[in-house]
Amino acid sequence: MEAFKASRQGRVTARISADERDYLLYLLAELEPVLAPLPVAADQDPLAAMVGISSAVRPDEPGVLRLFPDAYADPDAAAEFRRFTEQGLREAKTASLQTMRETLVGSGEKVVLSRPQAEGWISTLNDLRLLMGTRLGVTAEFSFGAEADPQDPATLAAATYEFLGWVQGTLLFALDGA
Amino acid sequence: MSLAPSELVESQTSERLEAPWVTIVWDDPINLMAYVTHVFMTYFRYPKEKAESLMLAVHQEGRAAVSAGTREEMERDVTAMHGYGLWATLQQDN
Repeated sequence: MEAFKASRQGRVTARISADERDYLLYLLAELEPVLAPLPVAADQDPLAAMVGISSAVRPDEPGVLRLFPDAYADPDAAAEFRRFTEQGLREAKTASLQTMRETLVGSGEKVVLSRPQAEGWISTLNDLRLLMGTRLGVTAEFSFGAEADPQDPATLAAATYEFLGWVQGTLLFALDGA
Repeated sequence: MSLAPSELVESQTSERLEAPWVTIVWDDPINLMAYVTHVFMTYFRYPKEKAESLMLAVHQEGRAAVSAGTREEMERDVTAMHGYGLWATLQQDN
Protein backbone atom coordinates (compact mmCIF):
# COMPACT_ATOMS: atom_id res chain seq x y z
CA MET A 1 0.00 0.00 0.00
CA GLU A 2 1.17 3.51 -0.68
CA ALA A 3 0.40 6.71 1.24
CA PHE A 4 -2.87 8.50 0.44
CA LYS A 5 -2.44 11.59 -1.71
CA ALA A 6 -4.79 14.49 -2.35
CA SER A 7 -6.16 14.49 -5.90
CA ARG A 8 -8.67 16.48 -7.91
CA GLN A 9 -12.05 17.57 -6.55
CA GLY A 10 -11.01 17.12 -2.94
CA ARG A 11 -10.54 13.37 -3.31
CA VAL A 12 -7.75 11.27 -1.82
CA THR A 13 -6.27 8.21 -3.51
CA ALA A 14 -3.85 5.38 -2.76
CA ARG A 15 -2.74 2.19 -4.46
CA ILE A 16 -3.52 -0.97 -2.52
CA SER A 17 -2.69 -4.63 -3.11
CA ALA A 18 -5.30 -7.39 -3.09
CA ASP A 19 -3.71 -8.87 0.06
CA GLU A 20 -3.88 -5.56 1.90
CA ARG A 21 -7.49 -5.06 0.85
CA ASP A 22 -8.40 -8.55 2.06
CA TYR A 23 -6.61 -8.03 5.36
CA LEU A 24 -8.43 -4.72 6.00
CA LEU A 25 -11.75 -6.41 5.14
CA TYR A 26 -10.91 -9.17 7.63
CA LEU A 27 -10.24 -6.58 10.34
CA LEU A 28 -13.54 -4.83 9.57
CA ALA A 29 -15.37 -8.16 9.93
CA GLU A 30 -13.76 -8.57 13.37
CA LEU A 31 -14.67 -5.02 14.41
CA GLU A 32 -18.26 -5.07 13.12
CA PRO A 33 -19.88 -7.12 15.93
CA VAL A 34 -18.10 -4.99 18.57
CA LEU A 35 -19.66 -1.83 17.14
CA ALA A 36 -23.04 -3.31 16.14
CA PRO A 37 -26.20 -1.70 17.60
CA LEU A 38 -27.60 -3.63 20.54
CA PRO A 39 -30.66 -5.80 19.85
CA VAL A 40 -33.94 -4.45 21.22
CA ALA A 41 -34.92 -6.55 24.24
CA ALA A 42 -38.35 -8.22 24.19
CA ASP A 43 -39.48 -6.28 27.27
CA GLN A 44 -38.18 -2.94 26.03
CA ASP A 45 -40.43 0.02 25.27
CA PRO A 46 -40.52 0.08 21.43
CA LEU A 47 -41.03 3.85 21.32
CA ALA A 48 -37.96 4.37 23.51
CA ALA A 49 -35.97 2.07 21.22
CA MET A 50 -37.16 4.09 18.21
CA VAL A 51 -35.55 7.26 19.57
CA GLY A 52 -32.32 5.51 20.43
CA ILE A 53 -32.83 4.84 24.15
CA SER A 54 -31.35 1.43 24.87
CA SER A 55 -30.61 -0.85 27.80
CA ALA A 56 -26.84 -0.41 27.22
CA VAL A 57 -24.71 -1.07 30.31
CA ARG A 58 -21.06 -0.21 30.96
CA PRO A 59 -18.87 -2.68 28.99
CA ASP A 60 -16.64 -4.96 31.11
CA GLU A 61 -13.95 -5.41 28.49
CA PRO A 62 -11.46 -2.48 28.48
CA GLY A 63 -11.20 -2.35 24.67
CA VAL A 64 -14.98 -2.01 24.26
CA LEU A 65 -15.17 0.46 27.16
CA ARG A 66 -12.57 2.59 25.37
CA LEU A 67 -14.90 2.75 22.33
CA PHE A 68 -17.91 3.63 24.50
CA PRO A 69 -16.47 5.49 27.50
CA ASP A 70 -18.27 7.05 30.47
CA ALA A 71 -19.34 10.66 29.91
CA TYR A 72 -19.55 11.51 33.62
CA ALA A 73 -17.28 10.75 36.57
CA ASP A 74 -20.44 9.96 38.56
CA PRO A 75 -21.41 6.32 37.80
CA ASP A 76 -25.18 6.93 37.97
CA ALA A 77 -25.04 9.93 35.63
CA ALA A 78 -22.73 7.99 33.30
CA ALA A 79 -25.10 5.00 33.25
CA GLU A 80 -28.13 7.15 32.46
CA PHE A 81 -26.27 9.06 29.74
CA ARG A 82 -25.14 5.79 28.20
CA ARG A 83 -28.74 4.58 27.83
CA PHE A 84 -29.51 7.70 25.81
CA THR A 85 -26.39 7.80 23.63
CA GLU A 86 -24.59 4.48 23.16
CA GLN A 87 -27.03 3.08 20.60
CA GLY A 88 -26.68 6.20 18.42
CA LEU A 89 -22.88 5.97 18.66
CA ARG A 90 -23.04 2.32 17.62
CA GLU A 91 -25.20 3.19 14.62
CA ALA A 92 -22.84 6.00 13.51
CA LYS A 93 -19.71 3.88 13.96
CA THR A 94 -21.32 1.00 12.06
CA ALA A 95 -22.23 3.36 9.21
CA SER A 96 -18.58 4.50 8.98
CA LEU A 97 -17.43 0.88 8.95
CA GLN A 98 -19.85 0.10 6.12
CA THR A 99 -18.54 3.10 4.15
CA MET A 100 -14.99 1.82 4.51
CA ARG A 101 -16.01 -1.70 3.50
CA GLU A 102 -18.01 -0.57 0.45
CA THR A 103 -15.19 1.61 -0.84
CA LEU A 104 -12.65 -1.18 -0.25
CA VAL A 105 -14.77 -3.82 -1.98
CA GLY A 106 -15.44 -1.46 -4.88
CA SER A 107 -11.80 -0.50 -5.36
CA GLY A 108 -9.41 -2.15 -7.75
CA GLU A 109 -5.70 -1.47 -7.40
CA LYS A 110 -6.52 2.09 -6.44
CA VAL A 111 -8.73 3.36 -3.63
CA VAL A 112 -10.41 6.70 -4.47
CA LEU A 113 -12.26 8.42 -1.62
CA SER A 114 -14.43 11.52 -1.42
CA ARG A 115 -13.94 13.65 1.69
CA PRO A 116 -16.94 12.11 3.54
CA GLN A 117 -15.72 8.61 2.63
CA ALA A 118 -12.22 9.49 3.84
CA GLU A 119 -13.75 10.68 7.15
CA GLY A 120 -15.44 7.27 7.44
CA TRP A 121 -12.09 5.55 6.92
CA ILE A 122 -10.34 7.77 9.47
CA SER A 123 -13.03 7.11 12.07
CA THR A 124 -13.12 3.35 11.52
CA LEU A 125 -9.32 3.05 11.45
CA ASN A 126 -9.36 4.91 14.76
CA ASP A 127 -11.92 2.51 16.27
CA LEU A 128 -9.73 -0.43 15.21
CA ARG A 129 -6.66 1.24 16.74
CA LEU A 130 -8.49 2.00 20.00
CA LEU A 131 -9.69 -1.60 20.32
CA MET A 132 -6.35 -3.20 19.39
CA GLY A 133 -4.21 -0.63 21.21
CA THR A 134 -6.17 -1.04 24.45
CA ARG A 135 -5.97 -4.83 24.23
CA LEU A 136 -2.22 -4.62 23.47
CA GLY A 137 -1.75 -2.36 26.50
CA VAL A 138 -0.24 0.39 24.36
CA THR A 139 1.52 3.13 26.33
CA ALA A 140 2.95 6.47 25.23
CA GLU A 141 6.34 4.76 24.80
CA PHE A 142 4.97 1.95 22.63
CA SER A 143 6.99 1.20 19.55
CA PHE A 144 7.01 -1.82 17.34
CA GLY A 145 10.61 -2.65 16.60
CA ALA A 146 12.66 -5.10 14.58
CA GLU A 147 13.41 -7.06 17.76
CA ALA A 148 9.81 -8.34 17.87
CA ASP A 149 9.52 -12.13 17.95
CA PRO A 150 7.82 -13.25 14.70
CA GLN A 151 6.54 -16.40 16.44
CA ASP A 152 4.62 -14.40 19.04
CA PRO A 153 0.95 -13.83 18.04
CA ALA A 154 1.13 -10.41 19.73
CA THR A 155 3.69 -9.42 17.07
CA LEU A 156 1.06 -9.62 14.32
CA ALA A 157 -1.34 -7.55 16.41
CA ALA A 158 1.34 -4.95 17.11
CA ALA A 159 2.39 -4.81 13.45
CA THR A 160 -1.26 -4.45 12.42
CA TYR A 161 -1.74 -1.65 14.96
CA GLU A 162 1.25 0.19 13.52
CA PHE A 163 0.03 -0.36 9.94
CA LEU A 164 -3.43 1.05 10.77
CA GLY A 165 -1.83 4.11 12.36
CA TRP A 166 0.30 4.63 9.28
CA VAL A 167 -2.72 4.43 6.93
CA GLN A 168 -4.69 6.80 9.17
CA GLY A 169 -1.74 9.19 9.34
CA THR A 170 -1.37 9.36 5.55
CA LEU A 171 -5.12 10.03 5.19
CA LEU A 172 -4.92 12.86 7.73
CA PHE A 173 -1.90 14.31 5.94
CA ALA A 174 -3.66 14.10 2.57
CA LEU A 175 -6.75 15.87 3.98
CA ASP A 176 -5.21 18.45 6.33
CA GLY A 177 -1.65 18.89 5.08
CA ALA A 178 1.37 19.19 7.34
CA MET B 1 -30.64 47.54 52.65
CA SER B 2 -29.50 44.01 53.30
CA LEU B 3 -30.88 40.91 51.68
CA ALA B 4 -32.98 38.61 53.81
CA PRO B 5 -31.18 35.30 54.44
CA SER B 6 -33.65 33.33 52.34
CA GLU B 7 -33.13 35.63 49.35
CA LEU B 8 -29.37 35.37 49.73
CA VAL B 9 -29.51 31.59 49.69
CA GLU B 10 -31.75 31.64 46.65
CA SER B 11 -29.43 33.95 44.75
CA GLN B 12 -26.38 31.81 45.51
CA THR B 13 -28.24 28.68 44.45
CA SER B 14 -29.31 30.07 41.10
CA GLU B 15 -25.79 31.35 40.44
CA ARG B 16 -24.48 27.89 41.11
CA LEU B 17 -27.02 26.34 38.74
CA GLU B 18 -25.90 28.73 36.03
CA ALA B 19 -22.20 27.86 36.33
CA PRO B 20 -21.08 26.78 32.87
CA TRP B 21 -20.41 23.19 31.94
CA VAL B 22 -17.25 22.17 30.13
CA THR B 23 -16.21 19.32 27.87
CA ILE B 24 -12.92 17.81 29.02
CA VAL B 25 -10.78 15.75 26.63
CA TRP B 26 -8.30 13.42 28.34
CA ASP B 27 -4.92 12.33 27.02
CA ASP B 28 -4.57 8.78 25.78
CA PRO B 29 -1.61 6.95 24.24
CA ILE B 30 -3.45 5.69 21.15
CA ASN B 31 -5.01 8.62 19.30
CA LEU B 32 -2.55 10.24 16.89
CA MET B 33 -1.80 13.91 17.57
CA ALA B 34 -2.76 14.75 13.98
CA TYR B 35 -6.07 12.96 14.54
CA VAL B 36 -6.95 14.89 17.71
CA THR B 37 -6.17 18.15 15.87
CA HIS B 38 -8.30 16.97 12.94
CA VAL B 39 -11.26 16.30 15.25
CA PHE B 40 -11.05 19.74 16.88
CA MET B 41 -10.90 21.38 13.44
CA THR B 42 -13.68 19.25 11.95
CA TYR B 43 -16.20 19.20 14.79
CA PHE B 44 -15.63 22.52 16.57
CA ARG B 45 -14.55 24.34 13.37
CA TYR B 46 -11.58 25.69 15.32
CA PRO B 47 -8.79 27.21 13.22
CA LYS B 48 -5.76 24.95 12.88
CA GLU B 49 -3.66 26.96 15.37
CA LYS B 50 -6.28 26.77 18.11
CA ALA B 51 -6.93 23.06 17.40
CA GLU B 52 -3.20 22.31 17.64
CA SER B 53 -2.72 24.25 20.86
CA LEU B 54 -5.69 22.45 22.45
CA MET B 55 -4.30 19.10 21.27
CA LEU B 56 -0.94 19.96 22.85
CA ALA B 57 -2.65 21.02 26.09
CA VAL B 58 -4.40 17.63 26.24
CA HIS B 59 -1.14 15.83 25.49
CA GLN B 60 1.10 17.77 27.87
CA GLU B 61 -1.29 18.46 30.76
CA GLY B 62 -3.22 15.21 30.55
CA ARG B 63 -6.54 16.97 29.97
CA ALA B 64 -7.99 20.18 28.57
CA ALA B 65 -11.37 21.91 28.47
CA VAL B 66 -12.20 22.10 24.77
CA SER B 67 -15.65 23.72 24.90
CA ALA B 68 -18.01 25.39 27.39
CA GLY B 69 -21.74 26.01 27.49
CA THR B 70 -24.97 24.59 28.83
CA ARG B 71 -25.17 21.04 30.09
CA GLU B 72 -27.18 20.03 27.00
CA GLU B 73 -24.58 21.55 24.68
CA MET B 74 -21.76 19.78 26.49
CA GLU B 75 -23.61 16.47 26.37
CA ARG B 76 -23.81 16.94 22.62
CA ASP B 77 -20.09 17.74 22.39
CA VAL B 78 -19.07 14.79 24.58
CA THR B 79 -21.20 12.43 22.50
CA ALA B 80 -19.55 13.77 19.35
CA MET B 81 -16.07 13.29 20.89
CA HIS B 82 -16.98 9.69 21.74
CA GLY B 83 -18.14 9.24 18.16
CA TYR B 84 -14.65 10.28 17.05
CA GLY B 85 -13.04 8.02 19.65
CA LEU B 86 -11.67 10.76 21.88
CA TRP B 87 -11.86 10.14 25.62
CA ALA B 88 -14.14 12.96 26.87
CA THR B 89 -16.25 13.78 29.91
CA LEU B 90 -18.39 16.74 30.94
CA GLN B 91 -18.51 18.54 34.26
CA GLN B 92 -19.64 21.77 35.81
CA ASP B 93 -16.85 24.34 35.78
CA ASN B 94 -16.71 25.44 39.41
